[in-house]
Amino acid sequence: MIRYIVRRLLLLIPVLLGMTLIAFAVTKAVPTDPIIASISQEASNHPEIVAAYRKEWGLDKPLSIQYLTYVKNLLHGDMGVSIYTHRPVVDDLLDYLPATVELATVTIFFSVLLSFPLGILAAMRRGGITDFVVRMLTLAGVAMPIFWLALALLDIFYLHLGWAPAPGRLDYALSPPPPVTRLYIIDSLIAGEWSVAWDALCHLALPAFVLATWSVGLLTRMMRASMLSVLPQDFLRSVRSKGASDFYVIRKHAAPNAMIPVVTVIGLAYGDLLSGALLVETIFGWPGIGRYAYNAAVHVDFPAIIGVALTSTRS
Amino acid sequence: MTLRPVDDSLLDVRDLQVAVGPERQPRLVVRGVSLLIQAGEIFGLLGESGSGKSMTVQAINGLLPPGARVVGGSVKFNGEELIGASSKRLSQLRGDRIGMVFQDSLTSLNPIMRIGPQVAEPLLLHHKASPRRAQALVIERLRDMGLPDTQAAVRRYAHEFSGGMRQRAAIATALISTPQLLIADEPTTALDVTVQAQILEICRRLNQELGVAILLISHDLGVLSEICTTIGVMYAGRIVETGRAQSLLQNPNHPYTRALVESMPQAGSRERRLRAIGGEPPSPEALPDGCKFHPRCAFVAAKCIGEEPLLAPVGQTRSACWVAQAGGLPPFVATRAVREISQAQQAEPAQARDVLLSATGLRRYFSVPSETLFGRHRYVRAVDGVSLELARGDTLGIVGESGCGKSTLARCLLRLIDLDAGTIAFMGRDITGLAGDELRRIRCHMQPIFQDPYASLNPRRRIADIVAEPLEVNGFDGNEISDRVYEALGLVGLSRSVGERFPHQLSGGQRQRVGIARAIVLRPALIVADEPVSSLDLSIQAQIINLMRELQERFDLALVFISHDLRLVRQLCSRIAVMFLGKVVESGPTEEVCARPRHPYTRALLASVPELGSDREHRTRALLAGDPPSPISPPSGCRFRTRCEFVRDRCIEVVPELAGSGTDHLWACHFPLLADDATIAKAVV
Amino acid sequence: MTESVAAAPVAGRSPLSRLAAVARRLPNAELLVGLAIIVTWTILIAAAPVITKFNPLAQQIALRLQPPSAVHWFGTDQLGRDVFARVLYGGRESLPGAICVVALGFLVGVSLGAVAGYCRGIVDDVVMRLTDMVLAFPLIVLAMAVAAVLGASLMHGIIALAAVWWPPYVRVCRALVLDLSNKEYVVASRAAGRGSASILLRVILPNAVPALLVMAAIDIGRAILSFSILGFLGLGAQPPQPEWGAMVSTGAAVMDDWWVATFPAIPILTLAFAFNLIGDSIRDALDPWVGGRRQ
Repeated sequence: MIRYIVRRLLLLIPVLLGMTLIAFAVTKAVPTDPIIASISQEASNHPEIVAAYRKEWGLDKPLSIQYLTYVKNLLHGDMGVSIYTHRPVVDDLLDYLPATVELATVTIFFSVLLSFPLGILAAMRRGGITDFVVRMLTLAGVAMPIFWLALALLDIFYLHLGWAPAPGRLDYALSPPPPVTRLYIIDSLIAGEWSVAWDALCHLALPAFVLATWSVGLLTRMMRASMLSVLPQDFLRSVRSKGASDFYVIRKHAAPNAMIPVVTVIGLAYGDLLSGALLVETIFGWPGIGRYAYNAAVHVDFPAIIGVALTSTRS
Repeated sequence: MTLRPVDDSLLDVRDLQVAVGPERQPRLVVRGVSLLIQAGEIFGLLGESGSGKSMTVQAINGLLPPGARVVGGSVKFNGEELIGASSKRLSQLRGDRIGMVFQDSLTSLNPIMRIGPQVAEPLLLHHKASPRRAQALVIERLRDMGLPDTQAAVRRYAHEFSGGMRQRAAIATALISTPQLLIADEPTTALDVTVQAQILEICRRLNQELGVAILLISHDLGVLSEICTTIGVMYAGRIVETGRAQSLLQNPNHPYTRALVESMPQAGSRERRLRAIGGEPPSPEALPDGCKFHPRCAFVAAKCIGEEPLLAPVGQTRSACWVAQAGGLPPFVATRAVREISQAQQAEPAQARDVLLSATGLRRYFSVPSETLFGRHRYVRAVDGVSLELARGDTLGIVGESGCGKSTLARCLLRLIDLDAGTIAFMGRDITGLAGDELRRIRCHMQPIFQDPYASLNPRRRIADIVAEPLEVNGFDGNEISDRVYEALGLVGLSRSVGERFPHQLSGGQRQRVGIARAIVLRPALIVADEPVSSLDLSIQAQIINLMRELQERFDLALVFISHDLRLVRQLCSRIAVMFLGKVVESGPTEEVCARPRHPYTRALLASVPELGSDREHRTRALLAGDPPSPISPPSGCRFRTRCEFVRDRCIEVVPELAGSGTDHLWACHFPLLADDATIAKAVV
Repeated sequence: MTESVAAAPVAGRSPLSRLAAVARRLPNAELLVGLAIIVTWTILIAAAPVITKFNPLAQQIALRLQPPSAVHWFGTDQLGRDVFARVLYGGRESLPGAICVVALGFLVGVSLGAVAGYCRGIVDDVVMRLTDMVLAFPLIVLAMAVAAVLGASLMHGIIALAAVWWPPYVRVCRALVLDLSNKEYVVASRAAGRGSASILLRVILPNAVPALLVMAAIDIGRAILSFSILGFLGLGAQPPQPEWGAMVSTGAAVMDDWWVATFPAIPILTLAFAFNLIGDSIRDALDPWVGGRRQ
């Protein structure tokens, strides 16, 4: 077991290196000059100012040196400075990461809670009405264009019904709880600020719901498929031959075996969520990595882009 | 055999009918089976695939797969009706009063749960035993089964055990609640022959000690003849003959039973052509009218075609055959006395022929990733110094159990894999290092036949194309190709129309014939057949063996026949080599080796093979204990020493070499058995 | 030998026979529904000029933001363009675009995977590391970056997606090839004297490709979704060209006039749904345990 983990970690290194190389190459190939994109229109008309900025960001050195410098800094935990926000990328990421983590974690948590029983149930009643309904709903969830759903729900539940709060993590009147984990719900619970916790939860609800249409769909389908592959297996017949009731067989033998492959998928789904969150965050004004990444791409902010890419490696 | 009154019997099945398929169009797979098992009896249910035997016992235990259902009949256990009983009641009986053991022990165990809790499960389910007490009982039982190191064993997982050990654990599980009836569905089919013998012995012992009745299902008549008191023969969903084992085997009164008994390779001499049953068992969708066996029956009469016969007493047994009931069956001649000595046999001893294939010191290892992060690579010594020689027209049988390296040896001989050491000379040329075009040219003269008829044919090609492939690849031209293809199909007994079909449309026996056709289409000098009949039904096996024998004689083929089944090898091969853990431990003329084995392993193999009417006492003494050792770290010195009862100091230190006493009968043992050791002399020739 | 291996020829295990079994099981309602949806949209999109007389680019500011009516079936957008026409014409970019992406990813992925699985050794390691690298990137971020580099346009959107689309095909193809290489009929071909390249191309791949094609067909749904996401972010076809994702994006500003954003979302949802549905039913049909009963 240990050997397996070590091996996976060792394999990660060339992958990461390769990624930095790719990301670096991609952003360097941009015809758009990052400097021009970031400074004001006025300043770009003055070549000396442009040259000064260029020098400051080390953009006048040969490419290979730039890359090596970058990697060296990386190893020191320094991801460079964002050309757009003018802050160290690391700081940017630390700022925005908790929001996404909170969103993703809550989504996954409730998705698992819902999808495991649903998937098992659908598998056991294969071919029946329950199975049909579950299958159609999950198919729709997986096929749903999330951006549209987010817009539609925001429009209905916030603008028209007023049930959901305004976009953002908290009501503008409330201030965030003392930062411990930077996850608002947990932090406010720790600090005993119940109303803040509740408010944070309410703000989470809609974006999490939108994300969950996808993750519930995916996990339920996986659970169903896994259960279907476990159910015909011989060892269940052995357990029944020992005199176990059907419920016992499912509870103690079938479900545990079926859950194993799905649990590994959860890890992957979490990673996918981080990137899928991009759309939801942009629409809901959620100050997370996704939105940061979107801004970075639009402004060709290459340190930021690489920073995001490295952070959301899904391995 | 008279029908006892219902009160006495443990299991009373009457006219059981099981159907599968959609509600509107059910297909009967069990069409009225009746059997009676007394307490303490061992009942053997014999049937080939499609006979319905598995469905029968699954119906008895209420464990039919989804889609199958009981549509008629009654099953009474201790007088209590099981058909239609509540699932709660059935659950109470299962595991407690009725235990069950399945064929594949690996898939029958939960892979992510330790063995201990699984064996203890019946206790927890039925007796509400505390886990601690249950554990203690489990350990005791497993020890009783012969599982070594039981304290540690209960904490292991299924895949860490060998097949034999797993099956012992499965039996322990089934019996842990001391049930009255043990149902064993092909419990030994997936096991090596020496292990199979051990398991059967365990079953017999448990029957005697605990008084548990056993319902044993198998397709192998020999297995049933070992321990059963009563036997029922199933064909096409019904029992066609039943009676006490002795009587049924010595004087079968149904043509199917007779044919089965005759088609079993016997302890006798090899100069006998197997009596094969023509045709194949019918499928439940296409049952013939009247007696379901009549299309294949040698004694068919008019009545057989119209009306299906019912079981009625005939002689010592009860048989469902009109002809038998009318007294029309000739007395069953002990066909062992019948010998058809083929021409080739008579000519055989004298001539020394050209050496066709000569292999010296073959070694082939496979590397296995080490268990620890930095450990050395370990090797599976699949073939570890094998030398053999084959002349034109020779038939050499290679026998061994799983892991002995025989399949790897086959691939080495055919140069399908590279050698790590050693040389092979074929047709006068050294082919050890050949590659590319040169190798391809040699390949025309040596062809393989594989084991699995389902995997050895390309599913996307027509039969004719499959058989034509060797010709195409070697540059034959179009007309000649189709001529030879159809000729080959004819030689193996397949009609021209078969050429247009796809593999999935053929049965297992037909597919294997195609494999043979493909092998001979190039008229090779050598054929290496790796377990060619192991996946086939007993009655089909005999057909294929006969076919191979015919072709070998006709085209003067050199044949290397690899099998775990000693009985078949004896039938087909004039010389034999016994392999154990990568080495040849004994070799020589078949009759000589089988009549006077010098290596303890050979003797144990011969003793383990279940055969009819053999002397049980003597054979039991020769059975091996334990499991085959691991090919990754074989024992030092003589590899067989961990299973050998005659082991001494020298065996631990020095590797024995193949040697003989002047003849070509060789053995690799420091302390070979005495030449006149008669412990395996059979009661009948 | 178990009961399930009947002596007589029955629906065996080859893909061909199983497809035949699928055909026999028709009408398989779900498969038909999925196909119907896809065919309907294809016809609508292909015959757009015939079906609607409106020009998707024609702006009529006076008629802006009209709700759906008998004249404008899907209403009009902020610039007075007919939404129905835009949806249909938008499909002319999205649907072929998605198919291109999958086709490219398929070709690259299957080639790499076949070579990796067959040659093994160093080649395999290199290919797998390369695949891992690309796979590790979050899809959208990388696609966005590539699109940003090349400039946003339909063509570049296709290239961007294709660049990250191939790794799953490598993995699946490699696994299939590895598995098939050990089949006895492959060994038999080798024993008959067939050369290595010939074995890969003419024996192994023909047996691997059907499963891969099914995978690709289902994948088109995912490609349509990804394409529309790129469009939503402004990285696909540029205005005034209609593109479903981009149309949703512009409709976001006027959500109260729901038809502008919602109608373009419908083809995305239904097509992705349909492709997945088809994939499910094909997989079910190939699964020997359909109906809970072993065939």
